[in-house]
Amino acid sequence: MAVSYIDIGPLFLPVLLGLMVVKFFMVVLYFMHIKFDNKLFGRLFYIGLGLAVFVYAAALSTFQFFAG
Amino acid sequence: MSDSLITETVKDAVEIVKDHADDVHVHDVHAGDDHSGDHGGHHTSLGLSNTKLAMWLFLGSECLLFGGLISTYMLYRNRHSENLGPDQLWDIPFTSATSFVLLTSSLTMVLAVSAANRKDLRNAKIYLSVTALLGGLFLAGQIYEFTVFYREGLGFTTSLFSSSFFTLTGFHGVHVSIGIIMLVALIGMLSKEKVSGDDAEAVEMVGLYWHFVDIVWIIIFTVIYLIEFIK
Repeated sequence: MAVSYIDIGPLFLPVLLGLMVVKFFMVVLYFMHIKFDNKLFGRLFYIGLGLAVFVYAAALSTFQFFAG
Repeated sequence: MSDSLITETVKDAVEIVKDHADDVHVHDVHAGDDHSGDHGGHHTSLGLSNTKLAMWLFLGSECLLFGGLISTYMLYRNRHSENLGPDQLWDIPFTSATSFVLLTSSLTMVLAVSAANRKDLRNAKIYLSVTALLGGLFLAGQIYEFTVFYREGLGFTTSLFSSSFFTLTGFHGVHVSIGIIMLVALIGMLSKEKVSGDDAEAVEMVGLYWHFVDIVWIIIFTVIYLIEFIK
């Protein structure tokens, strides 16, 4: 979050998204115990997550969201 | 999503069923028909907790719900009038503070689960109460933020941007509210010893839901609030 107050130019977006992904998986892996629990639980969640990313990336692409 | 992930998941499930079938066979021979697991909860033929399996399936499906809402916001985020867009409305320091409160509540939830696993129900209830309190504080911040936006002229039907923004953050707020209700109900049930099955598992299930609400906010805060400032 603190990165939003520092001017790092074009690196801002990738750094921000990178930190978001790191935070997301830290919570999922350690707080939600996916790393230590039965693999089936994690896979059920990752299938839902992967499906959501795939479906909505495709949907956004059809609206040429990434073109601009 | 790769086919190999699905194939591996199915293979794992088949292996677990085989292992469990062997265990049940041995158990039947030596100890009759008692199929209850070691951890106190109801178990599936996979040999895993029924409740936990259902919760992970539910959380997987929730990814699709929030994925749809976030995508809709991304499509409509520029559909607003010149003076009522994110640049004029967002108060990043305030939202950062409420985000910090929500992320902290995840930590207290972990401490509650840890205490419940140690059978320390007194501390588990204290940490659950703190988690509910922090969740309430986050919710109060969100209501305050909505009120400020509304007073500045941003209603639900003002623009496509406002509709998609209020729907997304409103849905998240409803999830936080449901989480708080679950936390308070769990504290009451633990106090009156009304939890059916394992206490620690019940705390863990509410914890999984709470952490999910937290990770959804991590995405919303970054994608909806912070990224607007790089334009």
